[in-house]
Amino acid sequence: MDNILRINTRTRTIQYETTPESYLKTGGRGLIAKILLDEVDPACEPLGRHNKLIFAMGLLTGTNVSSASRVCIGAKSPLTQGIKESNSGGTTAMRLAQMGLKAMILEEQPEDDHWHYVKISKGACSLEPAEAYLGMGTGEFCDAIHKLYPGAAVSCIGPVGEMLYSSAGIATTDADHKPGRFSGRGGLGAVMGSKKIKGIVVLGKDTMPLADKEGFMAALKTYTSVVKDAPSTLNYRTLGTASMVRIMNGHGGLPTHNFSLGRFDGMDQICGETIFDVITERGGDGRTSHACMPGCVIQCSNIYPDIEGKAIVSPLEYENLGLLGSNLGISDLDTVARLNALCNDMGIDTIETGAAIGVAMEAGVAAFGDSEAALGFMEDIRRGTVLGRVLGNGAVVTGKVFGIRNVPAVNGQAMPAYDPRAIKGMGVTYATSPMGADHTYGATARAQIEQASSVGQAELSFSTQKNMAVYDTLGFCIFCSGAVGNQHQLIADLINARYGWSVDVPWLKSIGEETLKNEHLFNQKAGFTKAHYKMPECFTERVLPGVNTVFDVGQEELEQVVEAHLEGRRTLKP
Amino acid sequence: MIVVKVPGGIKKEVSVAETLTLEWKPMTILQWLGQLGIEEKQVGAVLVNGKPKKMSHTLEDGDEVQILPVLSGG
Ligand code: SF4
Repeated sequence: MDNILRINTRTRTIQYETTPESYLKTGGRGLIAKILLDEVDPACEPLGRHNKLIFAMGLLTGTNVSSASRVCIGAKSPLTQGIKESNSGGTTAMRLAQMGLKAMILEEQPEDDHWHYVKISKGACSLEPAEAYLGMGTGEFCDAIHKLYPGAAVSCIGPVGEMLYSSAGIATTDADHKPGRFSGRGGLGAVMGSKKIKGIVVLGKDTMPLADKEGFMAALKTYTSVVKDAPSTLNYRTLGTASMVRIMNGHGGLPTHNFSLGRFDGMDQICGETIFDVITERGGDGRTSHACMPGCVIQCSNIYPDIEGKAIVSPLEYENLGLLGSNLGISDLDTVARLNALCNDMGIDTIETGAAIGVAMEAGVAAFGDSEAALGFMEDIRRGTVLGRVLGNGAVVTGKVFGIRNVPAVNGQAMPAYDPRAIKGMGVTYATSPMGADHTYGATARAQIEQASSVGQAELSFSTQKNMAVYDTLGFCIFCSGAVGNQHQLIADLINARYGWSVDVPWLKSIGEETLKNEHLFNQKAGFTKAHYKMPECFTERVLPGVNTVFDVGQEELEQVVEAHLEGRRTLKP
Repeated sequence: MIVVKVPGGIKKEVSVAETLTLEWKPMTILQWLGQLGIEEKQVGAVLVNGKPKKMSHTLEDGDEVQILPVLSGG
């Protein structure tokens, strides 16, 4: 039980290894950081043979604990040149855990031109020829695989991963077997493509062993009712993350026209309430609430249908409404949904793509609000035209090519849909994350704080980062955190009953701190210094209209956050 | 009369959830929030008789209103 599956893509050898003692009490993002530190030279080239692509399971993944089976995927990033972990919902991690795997490591790269997909079932793994699937979108690939293996869980890349774009992601099938969940960030799809692996296919299901079945069922009952009854859960289930459109617009932090504005005239047409009404009116495949993985009681996902009721995309959520909608000046929901679906099918990160197109629009390649042009860019990206390759390599590359300095990115990675001048804690997170601008690293937008003030934001981001690291290391969806609040004992009880351990809340906190420390250590060894962790000048010197402020949390405070993580400190100040 | 459920923490000074019964007036959700001293951006969603409604929606006599907290996006 709990093996590590190691696949050498050059020699095409497959090995099952017993999980070393030092990896047993960690998982997900924490385990990825440990394996990368132990096995990968931080100075290696991300698309070269020394990098490794790791899938790591959380400590409760595979059980029927709600929202605890995120698939955590990591490597050194071709986009940021630092450590990267990107997790998503879907079914792959649940199935890999049920196949007795704690982690899967893809290493080396082929010396020939042959492509494969990895097929995994209980106790068996093989590399199957994948040439026939090259060029296929994620949807077509999954359909082809499901013809062979109905119901299989799949994580795969699209054509842009094959072309090694720095913003290629990895798509994972949801509970309806559609590849709509994305480990989108950091170019992990290019790392998979560099190893000539088109996808991971997991067959079979099983139940997880439980050290104390009765104790587990009792803890599960309490945990489930806490999550189910929380007011935040009702919000996630009703409007999902799209509820943030109106709120961020209210804060003046909804990225609009390449982050030059924070309020969007067309906000009312793309907000969560409108999406709810459109889905309800159109009916058909549409769902205002939907679970991305079996057993999730929060069900924040949705299915957005076209006028005929046929699904366009699932889910349609906040980051994409911001980056592919308001940031491009596009207020037509159907267009935003189509842009999102095209990104998903070619396997590219929606956030990076929206940001790159925003930069191109500022350069005048097309006007803000030009839906046809935006859809045309998608075609360029997929076909691999010169413009498509520029956009597909992200916002920073696009800015360089077009001579635009207003590029919303930190350490090579584009910002999600929170303007850091309006939501300053999020700005601290963007600047101090070892993974480039990433909201999931420390999402502060719901905190009771004056969001546009610089006071207290470093402390807020620091503590939020620690909390998120715990959830990511456990393989939990961070959307549970609103419901669980401070009741972390609920999670400790589940872990203890699953494994027969006796961990407590301080231990839970410590695994988050260890994760953050290891990630920063990896970057330090890769050549990152404290000076890398900073906000670009287009946010520290360009005033955000409406909020009338720049990002003004001091560089010393940002560096203090990084230093505190590196030293494994409990508190921000020594 | 309208019944309004307010979650804890949405107003800085009130940390516990409260259920308020209020004399009905023909006002929009935004106006009601103003009257209750709740900032719009602190509100994740407003359900009227179980359905999410926009800030410009006018409440009717007998409505049951549930205010939901802000959530972090993803
Ligand atoms: S809350 Fe949403 S993202 Fe999280 S596990 Fe459930 S459906 Fe998936």
